[in-house]
Amino acid sequence: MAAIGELLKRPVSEVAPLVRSGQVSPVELVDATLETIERLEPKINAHITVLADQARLEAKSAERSIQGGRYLGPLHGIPLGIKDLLMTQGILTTGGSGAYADFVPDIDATTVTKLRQAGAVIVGKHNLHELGMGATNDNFTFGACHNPWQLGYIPGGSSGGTAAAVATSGCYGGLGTDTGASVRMPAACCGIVGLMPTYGRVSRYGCIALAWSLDHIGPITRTVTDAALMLNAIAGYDPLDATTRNVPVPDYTHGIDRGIDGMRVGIPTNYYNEKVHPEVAAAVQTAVDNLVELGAVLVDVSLPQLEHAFTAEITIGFAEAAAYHEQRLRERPEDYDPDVRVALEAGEMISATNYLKAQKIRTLIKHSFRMAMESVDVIATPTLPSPSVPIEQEQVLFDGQEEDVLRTMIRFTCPIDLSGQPAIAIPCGFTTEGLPVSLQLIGRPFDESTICRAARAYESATDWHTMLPEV
Amino acid sequence: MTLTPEGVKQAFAERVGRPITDDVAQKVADSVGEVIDDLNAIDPAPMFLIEPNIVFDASYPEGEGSSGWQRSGSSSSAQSVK
Repeated sequence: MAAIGELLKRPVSEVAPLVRSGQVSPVELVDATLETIERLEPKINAHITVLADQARLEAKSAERSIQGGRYLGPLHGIPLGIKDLLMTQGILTTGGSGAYADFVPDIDATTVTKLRQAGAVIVGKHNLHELGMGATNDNFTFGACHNPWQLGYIPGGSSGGTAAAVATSGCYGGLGTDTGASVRMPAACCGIVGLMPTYGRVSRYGCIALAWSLDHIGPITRTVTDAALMLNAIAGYDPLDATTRNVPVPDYTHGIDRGIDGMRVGIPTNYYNEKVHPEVAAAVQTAVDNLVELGAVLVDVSLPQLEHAFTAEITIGFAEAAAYHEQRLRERPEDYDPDVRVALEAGEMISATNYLKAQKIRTLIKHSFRMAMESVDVIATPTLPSPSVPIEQEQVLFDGQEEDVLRTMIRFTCPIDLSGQPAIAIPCGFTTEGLPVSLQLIGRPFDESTICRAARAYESATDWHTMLPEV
Repeated sequence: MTLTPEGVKQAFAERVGRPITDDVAQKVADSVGEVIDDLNAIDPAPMFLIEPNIVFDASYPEGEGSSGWQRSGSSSSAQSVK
């Protein structure tokens, strides 16, 4: 059997059978994970709170349960992490903000409860862009989180700490939140997998909201199967979140290895081919060619109205965020990052008619995707138009034209937050600078199984998911 | 631009009931002013009969396998792209 350090780099799907059989103890996994975190934290700064003592106790408890024949499933005894936007009972939950720096909730978020019920050991609360409101994860209160592939670059946001921790074996997987990109963007920047489920598939109860109608919670992992395993644990109706749908939850690992022979993959003829970094475009084209080799059938699809997605996203996101944080912002404005504070203040300037017009645009975008999905099973796009950027960089250059980093980094993902469909980001290459490139697969509502199957087919035929950063 | 720093300061005083600094007013006007201008520039005609809606269209097939794709294909060509 591999040494414990090597086991930390393996996926949950390979380690779980060893835990179940008693060949590996959850105590060993947690101790090794905590040592990794301690070693890398000065370089990566992925954590706001490390739960060392509690994690060791939970690991011992898991070990006893498994030895006693009470195995709960593939996450039992596995070290996982949580974006610090999700509430944890009795444990500091900062939202990455000075305004919540002393907030200790008396509840667990439903997703945290479900991970605990599955036997997972929570080892840490991850750094993020303050309140989930940004792409860089350059956190005003807790410091910048660094991309493990290039330490001077952003890990993506807002779940950047989660992605950096997962990529560097600071946990086997983590929960992020995605309002405009924030599960898929950091996964893409860090060369790992990010799965945003359908809006309504996963409860958001106990999450510090950014924008209610756009927020999704999803897994960030090193492999597609691990994302499916985590989704199995967290998906489902929750009476505490009225937006969750009471629809059956399949086993997302079932049939995940069946391949994609005959699957219809939509290739957008507009929007997703505009203002793309040439190395990103080349890597994604190669990935699409790989899908064809695996049996996929390409179909051109048109996605009208997407050119208005960013405007709708910002209008809805800023307005909802301003409403959610209104009271705290008035009580302690000086505790917010000045840039985040400006965004929240900006939300106060959006009128009801602005907001409703943006929601109308959203309906048109949903219709656009619905029409496209009538002729295909999934749509393939780049996850991001650009690889990660240096932490201090504020603009990205496309064909001589500057674009704000936030707009660049959410341009290809935010349309899906607006439409509410599921989407998965998977690694598909590297730039010559050694920065990861990512492929996005978009599916039909509540059909996460199909995007997982397509992503797994691509993953099983390539090596990108086996490449981890040396920090 | 629809929003000026002065307009932002006045709106804050009226709507929010507290003052903001010139610097914050300028940044707010810059950030949200452009978005509101973009919003106002969008042709409203296609939206005349559209209602704001975050619920999925009832006719939208949902759920596992809703795409109609149920075939269990071979992955024999998988190694060729490795």
